[in-house]
Amino acid sequence: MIKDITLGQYFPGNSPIHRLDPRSKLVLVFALLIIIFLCQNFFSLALITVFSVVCVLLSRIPFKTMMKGLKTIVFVILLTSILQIFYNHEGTILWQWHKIQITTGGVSMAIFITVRIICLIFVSSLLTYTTSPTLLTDGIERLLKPLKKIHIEPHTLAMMMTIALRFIPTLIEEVDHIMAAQKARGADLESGNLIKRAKALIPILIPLFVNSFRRAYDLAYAMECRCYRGGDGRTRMRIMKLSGVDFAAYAVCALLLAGVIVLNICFEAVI
Amino acid sequence: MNKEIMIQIQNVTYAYEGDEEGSKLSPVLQNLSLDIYRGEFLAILGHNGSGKSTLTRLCNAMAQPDSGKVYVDGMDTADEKLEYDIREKVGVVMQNPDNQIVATIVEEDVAFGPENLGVEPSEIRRRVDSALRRVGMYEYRNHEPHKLSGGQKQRVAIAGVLAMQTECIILDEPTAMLDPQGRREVMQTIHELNREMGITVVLITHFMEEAVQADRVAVMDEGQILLLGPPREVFAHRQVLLDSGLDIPQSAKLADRLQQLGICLPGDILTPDDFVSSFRAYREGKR
Amino acid sequence: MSLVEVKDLVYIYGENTPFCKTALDHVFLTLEKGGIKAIIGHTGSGKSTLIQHLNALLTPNSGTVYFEGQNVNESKEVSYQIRFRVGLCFQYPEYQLFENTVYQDIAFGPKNMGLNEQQIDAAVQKAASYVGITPDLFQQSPFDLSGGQKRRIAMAGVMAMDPDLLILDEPTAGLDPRGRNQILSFIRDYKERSGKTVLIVSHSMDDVAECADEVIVVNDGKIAMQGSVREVFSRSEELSKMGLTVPETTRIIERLRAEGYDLPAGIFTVEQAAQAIYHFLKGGGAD
Repeated sequence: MIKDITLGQYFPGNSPIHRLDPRSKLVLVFALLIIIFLCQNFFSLALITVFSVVCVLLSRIPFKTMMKGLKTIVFVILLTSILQIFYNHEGTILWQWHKIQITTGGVSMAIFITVRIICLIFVSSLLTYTTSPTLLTDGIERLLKPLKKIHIEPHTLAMMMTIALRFIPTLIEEVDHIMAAQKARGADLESGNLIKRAKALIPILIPLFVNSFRRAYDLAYAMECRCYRGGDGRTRMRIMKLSGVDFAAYAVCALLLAGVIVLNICFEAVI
Repeated sequence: MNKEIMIQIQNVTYAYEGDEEGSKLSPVLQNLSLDIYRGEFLAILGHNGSGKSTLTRLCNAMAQPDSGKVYVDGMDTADEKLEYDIREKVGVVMQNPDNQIVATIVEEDVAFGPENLGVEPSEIRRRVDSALRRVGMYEYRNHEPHKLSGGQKQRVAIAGVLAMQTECIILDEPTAMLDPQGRREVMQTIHELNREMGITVVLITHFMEEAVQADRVAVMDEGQILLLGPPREVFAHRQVLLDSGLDIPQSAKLADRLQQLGICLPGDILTPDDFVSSFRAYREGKR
Repeated sequence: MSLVEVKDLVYIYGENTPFCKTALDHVFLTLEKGGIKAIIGHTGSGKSTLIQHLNALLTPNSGTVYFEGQNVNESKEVSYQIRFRVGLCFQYPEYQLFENTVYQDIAFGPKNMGLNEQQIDAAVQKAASYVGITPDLFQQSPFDLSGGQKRRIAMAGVMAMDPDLLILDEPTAGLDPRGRNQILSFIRDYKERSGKTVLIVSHSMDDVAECADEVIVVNDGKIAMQGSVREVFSRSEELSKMGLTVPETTRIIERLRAEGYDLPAGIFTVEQAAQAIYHFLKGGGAD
């Protein structure tokens, strides 16, 4: 049934990565993305790769699941690799046919970039795999708190995200229901040209909008009934506190950064 | 039952605003007065459009009467400063279970009310756990609301109100969209709250068998209260109920029909229990 | 030839996902032409899935559905045409209205059938008359009407296709007693006037008792019972094990029977119960 779909890709667990404070995770992932881009040679890249793999192992997310995340960007990886292979003409020529040549430089760049993209994906998808959408929203809200000084309300933003997350499954179910109902009256949603198909969506979109407004009105009423009055004076049930795991993670990250810089200096850059 | 007043509605008239600026539609409530006692279970019956839901909005300061007064535990709902104190006292559960759950996790939703009130985190935790246990949803605290059944969602909504430590819960047709199983769950839960925690319950419904179980029943039509009293008294006015688009419990219908056939079962009959015991008494009397 | 013949139907939700669930488990069902039939079952029993197979909205994993001898999944074209012959009106159909006027909304189905203006007009007029929608409402926006009117308009939208079998999913859900009685009497009227077969899906046993001739009980993706209302309601114990409740009248008679009074089983209306009790008491009432 469509309502069984779990939104996001959260993979429940109790690993050290899961236990990290969501704020730390957000900061660390951001830092790691920068560190990955800092890598300039295969030695620093190897360090980062080992680190990413260790993180995945620590999180106990099955490799199969991680690979699924890669599937969606296989095309991007292939395209960049091919471009690199054919357009990079540094190093010795390995293969040539008329003007097209493949060089060692091209191949190594392709490998370098592919590994880097995979690392990027691994690290960033670990964030969504090990953090529930609720915690993630919460973490973003708390991290962005300083923005209040420049009159941006992180609470409002987080509330909007929460409500969206809450209602997406409900609305998907509703779309399903409306579609079935209009099909039962002979609505043809599958055939015809683009304009005809766009027109065929009207019987689905109008009820969906009307019902969404009704839901929004109900929800606003329900929230007011429960004394909602924005973020001011609001407390949270969940207390977020940095623990030993967080400090350890920050330390490891700092070491990693140092390692990457040292390796970058010691060995010749390939990029 | 003690007779301390929880909500006092005095000569209230209310009309919704029309499409044009400043214009008013014909009033949905007309010079209505009603006292709701602390700790009672009051059922409000009325067909759709009889003004029942408007009454809810007046009782938790979401709307102010055009004339007349509403007092909640002595607080005037027209006093803007008291708005949130009133809503803390009077919780509302609505008909559509999907449209009143805010958060993506059951326990987060229950915490929503106390969080808005600025309650200390440890205290919220305690309230959420106890509210979820109360309604029998503690095992589901980490579930996603959209995967629950209708009856379970309504119980989560009730827990959300309980966690605010309200003294009075108004339920606006909470079982209308549920199947028999869900209806039973919800009715059982609200009766327990009323009995065991002394919470004042106002149940708006059009299921007669739910109204029969209340301490008092109010029948509304055309923005006024037609009948008010214990179920036995109210359901004795068969014709008034039928005229205002309501029904009579089947047990009562059966007793009436038997009376027409010349069989007079003793006592007021509203439920199957009444019927069976009355039938037994009748048989014994004949013997 | 039977109107509907379901043979060895299997339907699995979300096949090849971790959430896969067998919704229909080798279902066999035959429906004869004429009368009002009712499918009952608790939420999740598979009843809604079953009806969506009858008009080919869902394609079975295995097994076949025949409508008047025709396999409804034979080809895309057959599946499309079958929707006009098996009219399906979903739960809360008022939330699927979308046209600017009542008339246009009712005309949506006939228009999709490819009828000409004149035929469409005749179909709309006739369908509207089945559910008491008067022509003065035709040019209004359906969104401005009351809940009960909206539901009737939505029902008319399906009736306008002049289907040989009309399926109504929970036609009375969420209505007040007056609205409910109205809908039920429109359904009975429709059956009389159109002579078509009606199938209602419900978890309200009172609705079933009031208007159905034949009952099909679905439980756990299987047909658990099929028979006359009397036959099915006489098995009230099995029904309650499936999470279904029998009408209050049936419950009363069952309790009296359990106490040893010699009353007939399978009673489901107030009148039947009154007559049975009357005859029992007048006929000497030997225990």
